[in-house]
Amino acid sequence: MGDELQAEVIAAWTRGDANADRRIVQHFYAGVRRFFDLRCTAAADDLTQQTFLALLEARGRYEGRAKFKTFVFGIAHKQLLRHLRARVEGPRARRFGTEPDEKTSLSMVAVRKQEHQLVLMALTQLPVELQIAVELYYWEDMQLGEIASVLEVNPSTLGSRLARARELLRENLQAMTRPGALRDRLLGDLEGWSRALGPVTADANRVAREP
Amino acid sequence: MHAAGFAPGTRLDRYTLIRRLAVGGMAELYLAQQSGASGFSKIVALKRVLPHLAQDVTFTDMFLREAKLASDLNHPNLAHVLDFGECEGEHYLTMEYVHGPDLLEVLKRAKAPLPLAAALRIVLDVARGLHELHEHRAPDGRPLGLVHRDVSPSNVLVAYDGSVKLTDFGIAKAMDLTSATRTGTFKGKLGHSSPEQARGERIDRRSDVFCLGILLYEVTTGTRAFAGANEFAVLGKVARAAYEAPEAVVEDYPPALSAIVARAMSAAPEDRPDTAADFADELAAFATDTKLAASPRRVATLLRDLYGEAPPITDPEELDRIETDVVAATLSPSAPPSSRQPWLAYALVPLALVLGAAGAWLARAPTEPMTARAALSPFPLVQPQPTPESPTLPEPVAIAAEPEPVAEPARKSTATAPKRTRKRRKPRTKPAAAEPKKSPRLNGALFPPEP
Repeated sequence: MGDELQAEVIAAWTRGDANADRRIVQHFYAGVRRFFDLRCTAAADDLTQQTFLALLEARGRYEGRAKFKTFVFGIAHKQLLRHLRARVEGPRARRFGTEPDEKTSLSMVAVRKQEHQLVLMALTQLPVELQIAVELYYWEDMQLGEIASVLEVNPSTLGSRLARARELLRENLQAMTRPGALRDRLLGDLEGWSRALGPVTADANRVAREP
Repeated sequence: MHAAGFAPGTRLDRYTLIRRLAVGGMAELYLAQQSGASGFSKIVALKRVLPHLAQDVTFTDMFLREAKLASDLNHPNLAHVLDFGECEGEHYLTMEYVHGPDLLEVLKRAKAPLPLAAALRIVLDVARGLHELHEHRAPDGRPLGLVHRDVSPSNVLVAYDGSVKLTDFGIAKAMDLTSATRTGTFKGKLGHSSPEQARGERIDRRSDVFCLGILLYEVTTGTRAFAGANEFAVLGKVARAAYEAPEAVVEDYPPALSAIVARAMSAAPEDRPDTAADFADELAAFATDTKLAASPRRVATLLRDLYGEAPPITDPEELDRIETDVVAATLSPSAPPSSRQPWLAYALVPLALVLGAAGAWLARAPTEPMTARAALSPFPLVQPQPTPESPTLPEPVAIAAEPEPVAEPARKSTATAPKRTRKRRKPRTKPAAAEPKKSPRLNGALFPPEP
């Protein structure tokens, strides 16, 4: 997801070029969908669509000071928060007859490597804001300042969050594995495993539904 | 592929299919009538392997082998497998027909914790049946080390008379060896698995004890113990045994009962009761201490409160129609009888019209309390556990959610059904069974054993 494509496309996009709209969607689709996938699987497609609609509406607000990617994920983050606020939580959400658990596009990822499945399992156990920090940092390869801008927090706060997220990931993985080679492999290179999920999860979401 | 299923009246060996009750990913379930000499007949539940798996020799061999094993099980709290066989490419087994809904349906209908006495009785009975399964031995006395692996509400049948039976054991080993599994996919129910299952480790009977704990939690709180946005979220919670304490869900939840739940749902198998019988003893002691009459009558009362009086299993009209109209039509999974026996097809055209109308008539009945059935999880779960005599274990697997079987729209009880008026209907050659609702299927991984 290199940014080099974007300068001319973004310029065209700000002028309202329909072709640029399409290229922007193609460029960010997998990442944006993935942003929703683990947290609100059932609504991932809708939220992705809403994000791109909101992006169109926000055309006049992009001033070019931040990276365009940060702008896009900032919009996605707002969509996510709105969705999470409306979501039923707690025992009511677990009543029988409520919506069944959903399959993510990442299922096939887990088929290939147990380590990937375990990292995904551990990641889903983190508080939402920590999950986002991990995903944007390792999967989207964003800088701390950019992520802080997306989440609208102080960069130092973001640094603490990321550290806490790593710590919790480690704790979760320890709880999810027994002593042995698998645990050693995972904890020995947790950053590597986390980062390795970036391309595979993007591929899974690209395949999930092409725009 | 299996949108409509076989027409009522289709014969499979000694069995005449009356109607389809439910359909899952691997099998479908029919209400059937067994016929014998001198007018003998018996209503049974017939499970038929779906055609795409009927072609898999490994699967069908194991299906039959494990069905045989299950037919040896004899306990009032286990749905008894009566017969199994193969008829022109159709692999099936028959089970005793339990007249009542499964526990999942009960929980959905109740929308609340079940009355404590009934809830305890249900879980007690499941635990006792499960213990029998765990203790089951081969004819030579060798322990078989069976583990159910799918102790979940949809596999618990609750009869209108208050009896409770655990079902769906007998083809798990077959499932382990299907081609799908060989390439890395295993199916189960994520929210009803143990931490060691979620981690893809080897399991023993204590895994089932964990699931008994889940069952107890769910019937006494009316909520799922483990739920999440997707399979990873659910698996992650199961792997950590992270669930909301029952007293946080239900006000005045008895602390002693909460302790029983907590012990059974311990993350470490060694912290759980060693056996399902031990778990049952704890539960029975709690019932005694709290003076709860956890009797079948309480369960029967619960069902009557939820569903009204028990509807008839079938009605004479339905049976008469099938018996008089249908000339035995054996089917193969790949071709309907009409294509296999053209002469018979011509002969059957008028009958097909009648059947089509009958099917449409059946299908128009509004959804009512799900008709009793033998549960249809396509992944029944019996797996050997290590024993001194048989130390070899199958490969451990990580689990993935399996859709609940989808019940066919049930026929309305004649006691409560509005008067039916016959209308002219478009002739059909298949019963107008409702298209089963697609449930989400979640895939997981087949992990290599930890070195």
